[in-house]
Amino acid sequence: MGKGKDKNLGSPKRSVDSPKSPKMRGSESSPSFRRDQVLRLDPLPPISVTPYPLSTSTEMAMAMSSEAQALQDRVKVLSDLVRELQKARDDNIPHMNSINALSDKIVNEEKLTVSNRTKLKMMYEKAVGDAEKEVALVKKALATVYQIRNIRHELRIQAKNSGNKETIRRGALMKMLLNCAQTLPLWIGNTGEKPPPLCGAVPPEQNYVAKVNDMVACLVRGSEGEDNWILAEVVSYNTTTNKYEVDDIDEEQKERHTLSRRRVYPLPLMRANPEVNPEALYPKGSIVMALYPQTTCFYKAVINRLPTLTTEEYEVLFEDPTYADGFSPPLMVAQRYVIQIKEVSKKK
Amino acid sequence: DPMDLKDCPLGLPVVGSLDHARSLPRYTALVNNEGVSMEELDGLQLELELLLSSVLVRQMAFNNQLSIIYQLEKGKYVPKPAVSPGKKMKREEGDRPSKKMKDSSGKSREVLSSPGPPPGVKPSKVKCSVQKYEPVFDVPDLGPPEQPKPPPPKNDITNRFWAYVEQYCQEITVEDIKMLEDMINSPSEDSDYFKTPPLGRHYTLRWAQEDLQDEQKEGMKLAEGKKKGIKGDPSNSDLSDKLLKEVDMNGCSDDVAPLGPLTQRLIAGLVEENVLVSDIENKGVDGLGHTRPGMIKSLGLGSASSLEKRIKKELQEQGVMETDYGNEDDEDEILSELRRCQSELRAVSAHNVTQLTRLLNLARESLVRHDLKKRLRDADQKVVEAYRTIAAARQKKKTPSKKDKDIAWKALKDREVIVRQLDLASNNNC
Repeated sequence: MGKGKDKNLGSPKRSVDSPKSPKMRGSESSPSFRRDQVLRLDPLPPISVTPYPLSTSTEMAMAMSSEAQALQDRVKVLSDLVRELQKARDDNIPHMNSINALSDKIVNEEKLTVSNRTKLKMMYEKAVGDAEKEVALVKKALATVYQIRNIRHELRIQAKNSGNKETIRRGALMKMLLNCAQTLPLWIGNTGEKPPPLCGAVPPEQNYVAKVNDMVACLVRGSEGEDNWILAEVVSYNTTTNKYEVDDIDEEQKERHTLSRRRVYPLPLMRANPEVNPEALYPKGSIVMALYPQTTCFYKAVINRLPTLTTEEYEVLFEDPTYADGFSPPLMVAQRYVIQIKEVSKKK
Repeated sequence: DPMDLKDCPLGLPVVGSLDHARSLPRYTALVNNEGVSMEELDGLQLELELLLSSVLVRQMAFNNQLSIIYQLEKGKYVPKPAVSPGKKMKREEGDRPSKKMKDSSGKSREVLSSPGPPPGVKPSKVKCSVQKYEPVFDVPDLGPPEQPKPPPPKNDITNRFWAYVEQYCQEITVEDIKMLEDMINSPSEDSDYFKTPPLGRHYTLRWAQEDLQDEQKEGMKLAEGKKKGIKGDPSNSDLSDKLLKEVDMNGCSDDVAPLGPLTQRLIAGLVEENVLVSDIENKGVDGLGHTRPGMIKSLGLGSASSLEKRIKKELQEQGVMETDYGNEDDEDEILSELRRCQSELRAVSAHNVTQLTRLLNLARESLVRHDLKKRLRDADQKVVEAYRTIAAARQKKKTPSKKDKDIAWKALKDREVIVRQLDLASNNNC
């Protein structure tokens, strides 16, 4: 039974039923031409952040502090910035639609004329400028978020010092570590800028000295003579002896160690953006030291998967002779807790 | 002049703004004036970072396209970049994004124009989680070469040393002996190598036939192309054979083909020179063929080489020529090479067999020693146990019982016997 000829014969398929909608128009690409898909089509995976563990008493103390008003001001600023940002984004949408429309037209014509190319060029240039404006606004919003967080950090310390001294239990410590890793600031550079030292996998400078209160991994000798890389906080650095004083992050240990620089490795201060700076990530298959989940010790591991979004973690396999193939099953470790493998010559 | 799309290096990216309503709930709440709670602050930070990242990606895409356009404007040739998932969204791990690419580009229109989640989302997410665990099998290849040096397993170097040495020092087992025996007994498969294969058809003849067949096939193909209905000639090979025979006949016609050297000498001796025409020095016997075509053929002497052989045989039987057994073979270089290789093979096999037998004997002896050692270990155990009972007894300030003493003495004596046996066995071999 024939319905007669294929009615599309002779003309490329067109989206005949799409009115002028602000949503993206269909891309009827001819089968031979594949277009880059820059717009993300699927929604991002939902973000779940481990909340920073605060006891109710601390919360209350913070709420009653005099600084609390400053917080509200900042929140208002943030709110305004976000609205301004969204307006800019909405304003940019029509231009992006016209870029897509021109691209569709070019694809349908199956050739690129010089005039179209010039038009495309001018549209792209305008779009770059629009994007820069968006970027500037997002950066401002983020800066405000950091300000709010700093204020809260100060409040927390105040509350602690004013008599709320509680030692952190292990469960709370783990949550704190997770939260800290997730909210570590993301490094954002200008176009073409290279990620700095201590951003993601970028190593620190030769003579870098970790600052007070920075987190580091350090090699300490245990009670039974075995060496372990543990997570610790810098207390001080003595420039004459060139030694660090560090506190084991696990307060139950209550140990303060004095170590030479060779035995101390700073943790990254910023996360790298996998979409923009993949070169600042450890490559797949590389050997690293990573913090074993739910512990405060670093062990040798191999990178199995890289994060693809800023919110994602590395997937690593820890070296583990108790497993048949010598490796643990894949475990997730945040960028903050993955560092370069460091061989330390022992026993000088 | 317009450029064809398939040569166009531009990606013509599909661009747009991230749908914050779907992906960034906390941000959306803030936009809608719902404020943000302190607990949500961290989440908001992450959302803003993701938003920023998407804008940066978009900006990078534009810049890339612009640089390509600038190059095109300058008239430079820009090759079309390879289509790869990494380029599309600047992601390194191609697994997940490539699946998303396939889903999205496959669905084309409907996906882009509808605000609801495309049907492809759920499956691609499921695929993602499956993908995550696949690479586990890749990694163990990387593991072993990166064997540890520093903590936690300490002194691993010694373990590795002993593991390496183990293959040289370990005990010989019954399986090893069996393997040796098999190796000694197996080389009967070499018998094939010792046969001299019969001479096959001379290669010129074979090649000529094959060439002819090929040409016929070519011809048939062309013919079939033009006129359907011509059956394939089943007597193809016969035809080529016949053709070749004719060629053969022509080529090896005894009328003009050279005869073997022995034949020539014989005939030259038998036929008086004056009979031949004077200018025949170079032609030799061929002259006969010229003057009387068909005469030699009619003699029914067969081909030149078989004639040569018959004459030689006849002369040898008559005692005119010395029988040179090796002569004929030496002329054939290939055969002599074959014989040489065969004798070499024989020598090597024999050597192998001797060595393997030697090994086998050594292995058998060491197996005996192995048994003795085992018995020695057991004896040692017994002695140690006996010692312990006696020591325990002494600790309790009791003199050990006669029974214990007897056991101890027996254990010691047995052990000595075994040690002597072992020494004997070792001395025999060293």
